[in-house]
Amino acid sequence: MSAEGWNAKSRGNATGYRIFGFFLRHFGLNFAYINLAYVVLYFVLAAPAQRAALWDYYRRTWHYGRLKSAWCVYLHFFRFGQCLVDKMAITQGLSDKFEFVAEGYDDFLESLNRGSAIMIGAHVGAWETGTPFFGDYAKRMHIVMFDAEYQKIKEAIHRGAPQLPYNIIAVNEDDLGSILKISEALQHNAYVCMQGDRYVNNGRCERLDFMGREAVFPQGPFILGAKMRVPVYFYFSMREGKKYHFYFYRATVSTAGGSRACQLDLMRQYVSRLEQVLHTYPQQWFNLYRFWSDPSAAV
Amino acid sequence: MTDYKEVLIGQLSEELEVSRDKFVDGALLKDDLGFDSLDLVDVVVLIEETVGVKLTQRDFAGVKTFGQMLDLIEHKRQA
Repeated sequence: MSAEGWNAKSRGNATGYRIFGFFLRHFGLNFAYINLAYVVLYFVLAAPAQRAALWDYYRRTWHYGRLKSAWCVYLHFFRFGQCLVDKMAITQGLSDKFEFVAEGYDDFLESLNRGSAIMIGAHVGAWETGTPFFGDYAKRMHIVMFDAEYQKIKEAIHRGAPQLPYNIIAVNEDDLGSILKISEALQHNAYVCMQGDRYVNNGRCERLDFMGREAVFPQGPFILGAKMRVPVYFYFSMREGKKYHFYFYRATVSTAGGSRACQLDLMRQYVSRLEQVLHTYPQQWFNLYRFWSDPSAAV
Repeated sequence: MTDYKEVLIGQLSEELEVSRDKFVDGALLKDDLGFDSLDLVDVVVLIEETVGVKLTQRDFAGVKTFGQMLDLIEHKRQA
């Protein structure tokens, strides 16, 4: 099945990161947020594709009116910026400025203490904020990302950015064997984290009903979840003011109907959990491109 | 090599839904046999179960054809 997906590139500006890093170091978190409110105005104007995607999100997914949608688009950009600033603050050692609460964490830890696990997240909230909370467990964390993204991170570290507290598994579609790094990590009691909501062109995908509209999801994380015979968790880290709420939902992995049925079942469980999270945190949906595959209509 | 090769081809053909006669030494894993990286997870498990050889990501570096994969398996069997 083929569909238009994410283009595997993320928008980011090194100068912006440096400026906000400076604000955080010298003036604190609140000062950074205040400045963000102005910077966001620029992005609302200068990022038409993201703005259009959010407009579509509020108008056609949430069925908000024009005025409410316009306000929510601004707030959405702001919330996105806040999550980036928070991630940066936590990387810079300001995790004591935040409160962390978790749901389903004991069960998750029990699985980790027994061996390995697969975590499937999404581009909602800010999953990286969990790393100080995980303590030593973070050392066993392996994040799966595309090689192109990993190269950017390596360059940033080379330029002086802090080392990552977790490991990276860089996968490359041109290298058949790269996916085996995931099974090898799992065999060594690692827990492997993937995002389950970004389909990249030419990859295997599934069309599912999501928030009342048809959307395309990648099959990869769920195929691995169905095959690897390790516990699968859906993980979301959501912002609630200066508190981060971590959700660990254990998925039911049943191999009864074969691996294809298991994969589909996992995907449906994931979509249902993601919907649940979005209903609580609608402004923390950070797939800032046209996510839904239904034809465009003027809204 | 013949014993397990036939068994392996039979199982791969069934698992990946590719006709048996396409499994020739020169067949490109990706282009001729339609392997993608997710298939490889199955293939590695299958090889381990059928031949008792564990292949790693490092082993697969440079392997492009079915023949190269068989050579790799044979090499690991004899190691």
